[in-house]
Amino acid sequence: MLASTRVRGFEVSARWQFGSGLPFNRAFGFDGFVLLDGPVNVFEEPGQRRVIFDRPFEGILPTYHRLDVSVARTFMLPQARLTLQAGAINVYDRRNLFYLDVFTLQRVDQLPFLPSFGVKMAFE
Amino acid sequence: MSRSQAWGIVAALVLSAGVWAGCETSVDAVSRTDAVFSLFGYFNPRADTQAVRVFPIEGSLVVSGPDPLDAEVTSTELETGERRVWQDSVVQFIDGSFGHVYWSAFRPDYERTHRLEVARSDGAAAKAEVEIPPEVVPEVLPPEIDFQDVTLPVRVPPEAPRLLRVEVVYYTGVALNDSVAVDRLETVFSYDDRVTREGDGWRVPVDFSGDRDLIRDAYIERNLFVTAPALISLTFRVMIVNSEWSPPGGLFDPNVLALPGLFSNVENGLGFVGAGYPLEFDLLPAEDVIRQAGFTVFSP
Repeated sequence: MLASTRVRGFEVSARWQFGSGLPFNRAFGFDGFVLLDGPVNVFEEPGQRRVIFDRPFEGILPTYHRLDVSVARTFMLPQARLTLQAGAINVYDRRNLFYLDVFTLQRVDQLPFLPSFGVKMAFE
Repeated sequence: MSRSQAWGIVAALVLSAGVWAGCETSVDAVSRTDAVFSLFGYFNPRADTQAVRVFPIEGSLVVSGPDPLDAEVTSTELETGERRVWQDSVVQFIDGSFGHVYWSAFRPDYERTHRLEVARSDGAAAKAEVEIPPEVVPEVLPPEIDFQDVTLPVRVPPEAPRLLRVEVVYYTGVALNDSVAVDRLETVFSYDDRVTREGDGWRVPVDFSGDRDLIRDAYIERNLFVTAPALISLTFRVMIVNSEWSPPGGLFDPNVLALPGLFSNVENGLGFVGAGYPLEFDLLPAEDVIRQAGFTVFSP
């Protein structure tokens, strides 16, 4: 959703995005595997690590939502227009998932609360 | 849109944001399971020490170091109730990884059933029941000769539940004289796909002359044209295993069998615990049969 309005010379806008959580494959856990195809010596065979997956698409990732706001005001100068901007991404600092490494369980999130400021000068 | 409408929308956005901000953001990538351990190994009635590899089922793929494992491994012979506690050993493998191999110094009797149990201190346990196959003695039947086609049939008694890793090992060379052979070559032929079950047991038709042709080809690949390789030794190898030691589809495909639970007899866990014993014996036939198949008799 996107909304913008003008208040006392300020251009105020807000944008809110929402996405439902996507399904993903969860794991039961992690173990190892040794191929027993004959007289295998388990003192010497290292085997290999493996992922024990749950049934497909049993997991649901968290919902994604984010509110961004910005305020801007333009001042008229001789032969130029000066615009001052201020804004913030992810106003309520939502932990939105960027990716999850199922093998290491390492989670990486998208941008946290991030304020920004800007100046724009346009010459006529 | 009027100013009041716009502010109404902004207020709705902020309100929605406030509601959603309190929502769950954590993600649980590992679901609960009752399985506690994965076990791999086999009981061997011809070995003085029994061993099983124990993997804990963990919440992370990170490879563990040589830390102690919260596990007690016991085996119980169901016919007698005799119980043994197995010893832990932390093994560092050739690839540098560590693993827990539990062992016990005993020789299980043929045709007995053992329950192997791996228990955590909180009581959660993985179990497997394993039946030791009977003792059998394979028999080398008289050679079957059809001109230059020579077959050496081997019969394994029907009491053997399954045969695994059926192999014939030829050790050949190029004879300089009756007692000196050079360019020695060990060639292993798998006979897993040529085993048949008949009324009087398992039959393995060792294609003596056909294998000779393949050995000759192996020499040609080494730029050695040997019409009649000297046969130094001929060994038959087989593993007699219990009936459960049978992968789906009959193939030990690591890419398929690595799928959890596909080939498993472990309760509250994963992996496979089998039972069996390897046999190996000399298959060298009489000198005239060796010559008939196209080999040179070699007697160092």
